[in-house]
Formats: sequence, structure tokens, C-alpha cells
Amino acid sequence: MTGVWALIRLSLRELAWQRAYLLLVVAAMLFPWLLLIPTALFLLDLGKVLVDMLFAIEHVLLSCFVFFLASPLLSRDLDQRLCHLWLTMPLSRAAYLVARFLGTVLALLPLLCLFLVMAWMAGQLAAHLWPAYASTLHGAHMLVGGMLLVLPYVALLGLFYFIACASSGAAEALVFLLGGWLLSWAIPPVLQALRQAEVAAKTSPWIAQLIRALDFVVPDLSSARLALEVAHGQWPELHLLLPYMVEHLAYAVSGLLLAMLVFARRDLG
Amino acid sequence: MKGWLRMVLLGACMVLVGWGHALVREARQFHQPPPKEMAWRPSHAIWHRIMAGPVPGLVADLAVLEVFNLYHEGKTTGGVARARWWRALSYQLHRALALDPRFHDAYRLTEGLLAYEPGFTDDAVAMIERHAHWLDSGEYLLVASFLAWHELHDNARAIRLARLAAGKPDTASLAAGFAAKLIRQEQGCRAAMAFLRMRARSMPKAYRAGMDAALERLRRDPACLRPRTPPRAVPDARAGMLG
Repeated sequence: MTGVWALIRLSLRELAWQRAYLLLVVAAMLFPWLLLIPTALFLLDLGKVLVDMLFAIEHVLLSCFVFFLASPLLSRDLDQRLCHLWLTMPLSRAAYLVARFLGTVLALLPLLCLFLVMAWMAGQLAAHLWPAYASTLHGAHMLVGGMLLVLPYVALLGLFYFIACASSGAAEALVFLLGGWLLSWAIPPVLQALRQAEVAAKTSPWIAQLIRALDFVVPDLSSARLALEVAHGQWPELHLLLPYMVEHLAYAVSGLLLAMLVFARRDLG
Repeated sequence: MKGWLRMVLLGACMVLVGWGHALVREARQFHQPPPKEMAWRPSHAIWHRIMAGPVPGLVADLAVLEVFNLYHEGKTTGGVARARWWRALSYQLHRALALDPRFHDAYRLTEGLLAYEPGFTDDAVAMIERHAHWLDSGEYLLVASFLAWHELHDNARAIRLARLAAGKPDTASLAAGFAAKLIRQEQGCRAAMAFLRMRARSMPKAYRAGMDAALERLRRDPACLRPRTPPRAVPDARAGMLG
């Protein structure tokens, strides 16, 4: 257990002291304030526009974290065989993966909290500056929405751990992660379109089945509906909140379990 | 290579980058009107949703920003090219509403800009009517009703839209009164001028050109110059409209 804690702490420290992480911290502090400038260009829905932009920046920050910080951390361990240092502690391979995963998720939290606090403060300023045009801006909604948007990225991290353990190197893992990320963006709107009778009639059943199968394989990264509801000052639908959280957390755990299975048989020599 | 030579080459490269960048940036400005075939189809919504991914709200915001650029080009262009700019503007409004059907700015620009461009009123009214169930305010439906009556001379459509507006809590009484006036066809000219003035007041000055032109047309209309006839009493405007 001591080894696991030590590795979690080290992962946190390794990520937090990278210049890229500090850059993301600076971006998380600055962007919410800078977004007030383009928001002022709109006519009526200023609160909605600000929340749209804040969520878009949050997606960018989280994607950067996964691609440029979390992904190289594990890939480097596996490629350069640095994981041997920990596995000879002795630390089991499964414990090593869990510790790295938890360390990575914990490193995400300060960044997220900082961004959400700044976003909340910028939202308060917007409500003060444009009280008649920012009526849909509710701080609590924005904070809850911002926290919920992180869950798909935790699921994506789980997928990445599986990909990294099964791939032959960092480049291959990154290509598959990018593929999964793009599919996660594109599939939910395609499935929504397939519900329309006109589109369904024109689409081959094989293709529709393939898209549905892919939807099960990749995490639902879109969260588009949730973001739109929060931007319009509504609470996310309560009966969907629990399934949303359970789905993404279960996906992350599944990815990690599959990664453990593959990593247990991987030749590290 | 010597140090001074490197510095000279670096300076020369920076000058060349600046020269190329300035030319390319100039060419990137809007000079050519958008393609003729730029017409919105419902199937386009699917592709735009896919492209927008997890940020449909932001893409709708960007579409509205693009509307401002297109309006600037459209209002200063004449002839055949003008219609292309306005078609592109209409496309962006369709795109914004397909991605975020509750976006008030898109409705405001649809009824305040697009609707007053000759040839696009029908498109604007149809756009608002199609999204009626998404609207939490009757304001835009009421304006669409006014446009259908005043610009399109389609009373049946105007009454249908006024009824939809009366179903929304914020404009119920106003919509009822307006619908009653539509049905009785009284004081059309003055009511239209008052309504247009009210809408123009809530629009930024830079975007009032279309409404101002409509007001000017009404002012010059001989029917508007005739002395006002006293209105007949409306016992129950709402009942008149709903009946």
C-alpha cells in the first residue's frame, strides 16, 4: 500500500511540475476573464454565450491534459521501461496501473477546480455587468455542469490505459487514442440523426448496426445536451444524471481492468 | 556560416514572411460573394451537429458572429451578388438554430435582419414558425405574425402565428390584441408603424436599416396619410382570436 501511495504522489508531482501543466493552469486562470470580451459582441443571450465558451475552453483544457500530459506519462514508462523501477519494489503490475491512473486523475482536479472557480467569478462579473442579458447564468448550474463534463475524460483515460498497455509504443497508442476521441465526438450526433425516419430509411442497416456497436466501444464524450441545458440556465435532467455518472465511471473502471489483464501478460523484457 | 550572415538571413526571412503574410491576409478578406447554391437543407443539420461534437452551443454562437460579418457585406453590396450574401446569412441562421434552437440572438437576427431583406421574409417567418415549440417567449412568434400579415399579406399564417404566440405566457394579451386587429383589419397602417417602431428601439442602431426602410415605406404610403378612423370596440379580443 505504501508503494501505491508513493506512486500516486510521484505521478501528481511529475505532472504538476511539467511546464505544460503550468501553462494549462495559467490558461485556466486567464481564459474565463478573456471570454467576457467576445461575449459582449452578442445581443441578448450573453449568459448562454459565456457558458458555451467556458465549456468549450474546459474541453480544450481537458483534451490537452489527456493528450499532452497523461498520455506521455504512461507511454514513457512503458517505452523506456521505467515501470521496472516500481515493479521491483515489489509492486504488482495491477497496483502500478491503478496508482498511475489515480495519480493522473488527482492531478486533473486542481486544474479543474481552479478553472471552475475562475469561471464562476467571471460569471458573477458578467451577471453584474449585464443583469438583463445574463439571466440564464446560474453559478451553481455552471459548477455542476463543469464537474460533469470531466467524467467523459476520466472514461477516455481508462480507454487510453487499455490502448497503451495493448500497443507496441507511444506513437501507436496516441493514434488509437486520437481515433477513439474523434469517434466519441462524432458518434452521438450520428445516432441522434439515425432516429429520424428519413435518415434511417436512407442508411443501410449494416452501417446503422456498426455505428451502434462503435457507440458501445468508445465513451460518450459529447455531453452536448448537458452543456446546452446548463447554458440555458436549466439543471441537467435529474433522471439522467445518475446513469450519466455511472456510465462514465464504469467505462473508466472497465478500461483499467482490461488494461490490467493485458499488462499482466505483457512481455516487459 | 558566420554569425553576422545568419542574422542577415534571419532578417531577410522575417521581411519575406511579413510581405507574404500581408498579401495572404488581404486575399483572405471577403471579396467574392458566397456560392450561388448555398441553400439550407434539413439534412445539413446532421452534418453540422456531427462537426460541432460536444460544443454545439459554441458553434451556434460562431454562426451568429458570422451573421454580423455577412450582414456588413450584404448591406453594402448591390445587384445579384447581394442575394448571395443574404442567402449565406440565412444559411448561418439556419445553422445556429439547428444547433441551438433556444438561442435568442439567432431569432432576434432572423426577425430583425433577414425578415426585412426583400425575398427573405418568407424564409425568416418559416424559420421562426418551425422552431415555435422551442420558444419560451411569444415575442418572436408575434413578430413573425406581424411579418406574415404586413410583408407577406398572408392573414391565415399571421393568425396561426399569433395563436402560437398567445400560447406563451409573456405575450398572451399582446398577441391576442394583435390577432384581433388582424382579424378585423382595422388601423393596419398605424398599428404596423407603431409595432415597427417598438421593434426598432430594441435593435442596435447599426442593424436597423431593414426596419427603417420598412417604416419609411409605410410613412410614404398614401393609406397611412388618411385621417384615422375611430376603432370599433373589441368586446373580447382573446375570444375573437381564439374563436
